[in-house]
Amino acid sequence: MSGPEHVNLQFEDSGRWYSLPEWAEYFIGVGSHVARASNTDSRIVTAIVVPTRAFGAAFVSLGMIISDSAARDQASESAHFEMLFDLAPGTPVILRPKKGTALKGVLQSPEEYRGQLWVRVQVHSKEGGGRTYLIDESHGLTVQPAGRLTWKLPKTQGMGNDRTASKFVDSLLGEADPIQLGVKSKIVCALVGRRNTLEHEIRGTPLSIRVNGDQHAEGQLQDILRVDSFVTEQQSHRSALVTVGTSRPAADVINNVEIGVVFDGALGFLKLGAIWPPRHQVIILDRTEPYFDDAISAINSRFTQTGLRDECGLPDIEPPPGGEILAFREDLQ
Amino acid sequence: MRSLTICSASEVYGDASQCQIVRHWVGHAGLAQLSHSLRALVQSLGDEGTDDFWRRVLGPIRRTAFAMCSTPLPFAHLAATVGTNWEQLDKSVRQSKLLYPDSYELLNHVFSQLKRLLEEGSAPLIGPLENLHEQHGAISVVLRNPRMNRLVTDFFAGSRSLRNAKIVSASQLRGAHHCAALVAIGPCGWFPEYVFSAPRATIIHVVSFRWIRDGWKPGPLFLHKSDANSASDANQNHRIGMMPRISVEATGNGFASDDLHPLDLVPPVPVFAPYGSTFGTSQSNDADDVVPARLCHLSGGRAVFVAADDGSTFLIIDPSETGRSAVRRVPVDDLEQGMYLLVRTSGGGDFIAPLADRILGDLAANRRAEQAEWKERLIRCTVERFGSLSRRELSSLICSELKAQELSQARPANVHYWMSSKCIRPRKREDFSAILKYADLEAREESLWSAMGDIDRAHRKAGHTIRRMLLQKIAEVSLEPLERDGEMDFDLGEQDGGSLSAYQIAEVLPQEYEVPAERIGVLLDLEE
Repeated sequence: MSGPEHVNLQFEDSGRWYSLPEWAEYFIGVGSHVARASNTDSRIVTAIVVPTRAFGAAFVSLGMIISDSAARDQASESAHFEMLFDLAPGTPVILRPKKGTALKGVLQSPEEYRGQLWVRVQVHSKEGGGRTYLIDESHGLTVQPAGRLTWKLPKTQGMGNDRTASKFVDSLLGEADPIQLGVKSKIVCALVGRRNTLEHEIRGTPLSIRVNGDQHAEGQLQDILRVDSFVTEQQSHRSALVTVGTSRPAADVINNVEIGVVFDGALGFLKLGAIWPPRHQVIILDRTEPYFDDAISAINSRFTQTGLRDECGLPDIEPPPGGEILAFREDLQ
Repeated sequence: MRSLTICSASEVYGDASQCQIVRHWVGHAGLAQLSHSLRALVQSLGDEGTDDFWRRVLGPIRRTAFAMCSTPLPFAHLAATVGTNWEQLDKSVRQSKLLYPDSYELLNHVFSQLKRLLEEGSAPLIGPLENLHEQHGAISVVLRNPRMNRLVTDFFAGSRSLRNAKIVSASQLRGAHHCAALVAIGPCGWFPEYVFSAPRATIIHVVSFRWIRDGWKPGPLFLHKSDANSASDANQNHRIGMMPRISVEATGNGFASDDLHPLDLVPPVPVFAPYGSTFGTSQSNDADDVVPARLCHLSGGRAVFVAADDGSTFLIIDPSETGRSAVRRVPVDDLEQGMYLLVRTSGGGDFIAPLADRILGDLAANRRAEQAEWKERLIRCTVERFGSLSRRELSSLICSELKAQELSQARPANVHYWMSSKCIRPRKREDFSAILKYADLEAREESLWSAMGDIDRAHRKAGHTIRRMLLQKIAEVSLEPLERDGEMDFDLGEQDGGSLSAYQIAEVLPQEYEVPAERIGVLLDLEE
């Protein structure tokens, strides 16, 4: 059993910022809860009935991605550090020496210093003095390969450089997720729904987070979700959009989802609910939508036929008004 | 339907947490007697009630009685608007004395009660509405039959005591629509459950006649482990949030044993025989020109058959989408409840072909002749080979042969559609080659493919023109009447398709029917 993931996001209404409502926090909590659950032998199916499904899938995905970002462990730090060792000198990287700052860098040869292994990242060009940073294993995640991006180092880069960092993202994820720099694509979750609706929620809704007293850093859910359909060619993605009309999603979207699939509505679930068998599923069902009853029947049928009696828990707060939540584990065999 | 903002979604959750549902019971002795007598008549007829005679007699009686129980209009006002042919009905009632002597007395009693009520000018639903209007200052009213929405809107507009009453449809109560007080006319069972379980108002008054049962209350939807051993699992894995509270006006809600169930009064929807038996009688000379079709139930008791072939597409308005996606062509499998299907209500259902012919100009006659020619040839060859069978059987035989010769993987339903006058050409060139080979027209494949291409392009251009005109119209006018009434007319001008009507899709039936090609796209009024 777990409490909801609390994020200090705010939304805008008539020129003023307000804290996210409880229902939104609930969805974030569900996403976060599911992201922390194991899916090795069984997966969790969470069906959430609500009076409106607006923003439900987007906030569940946010919870999944925030939780995934926070889930780095020692093993992943070590593996990441070893990966940096394997990269060729000259590989473009992004270095985050401190929160809110992102510097373009180039890897130099790794070295041993005072009995410890280090990677060296050059951030200024030779003409600018060739400044480098030495990074040890505990800070390895602050260095991320730039993927397909290439660059020539500038003469100097200030510590206030925010060209590739977002205060909004930094403040929301804190130190948790260096991948926020947007250099490495992965699919933490897939969203199945209508493109226009999800685009309005994810790209068209201004949000903010308090950074310093009354200062707000503004952004959108897209800054965190990085939905593949809404990113530019230069940007990496962290989630995939599967539109309801799709007969079958692309193979990489089926095979590479890491945590779960979030269905925004009954139709997507009825059409594509059988895909992604080994991944958690969160289904947001709007009481007012067509095919609602069909989706309820489908879920009840799965609950009785394949549901396990294991406890899988729900976030430790009341469901939103007009809501009903069912969570169960399904055997992956 | 506009996308919700975080703020408007919060309003919806706010409504769900605060909503109170108050039941108000209305009495009317005469209407109660009529309702009971009518139910007794329908029950006494049993299966006989589906006979043509009884459908013709009972149809208008049931619709009128239902309108009286579900529409906040004075009875005399209803009598003038329901369009019942009373003379004809009177004649039929007298006929029943000879045809169905056992049922005559009850029918005559129902008919007399109905006529008497319609003459008395009573308006039992108006008083409670006026009280609620006065109490709240403004109310939204939802009716069971959306066909009455426009009529009641006009009535409210002309009434001083209901001037701030506004008709809304159940569809509008799906989106961001919010009202301070909602009044549902009739028992909860007449409306989609979401009207009450996902309320768009902080108070919902259910105004219904006392003799109609109304036991609806919110309850769980999901099955969950509720046995004693897993009680803790139930708490862990299943939860219900705050739901609307139900209260009853002081007059009480005890039901009598002979009270009607909500659906007893609702006029039945006709059922069509599925694929294998032909629907309707073809008016054309070519009675064999039938196509596989799906039935779309539309708002207000209307319906339309649409070609079931996976290559055919339909122009729809989708208010849940924005911009250019709001008007688009969708294949039959993608037609969804809630979309608005465009139908031509006069001059035949097909609004694309006439415009396409105008686009083709002088070429039209020639191209249409070529289109008819390859189909006729295909049918003739098949008939010569297998004998005079139905199109469906012929399609199946052609299909088997084409598959055996590895010429095409088409399904019998595809071949059936290709034979019909509705089809221009198969989508895949290899399918076209295969059937022309079969029809001994191999030598003309290239020219026929090209000629059919001309028609296809003209159809696309016609569809594009109509879509562009509709987008322009939609940008100019409010779509509120469309969402409120479930239907709306769009006049595109004679040159651009004439007058089209959009009807909300209530359901697309999964089964296929065999329908004369000329009936495809033609609006059916299931109340007639």
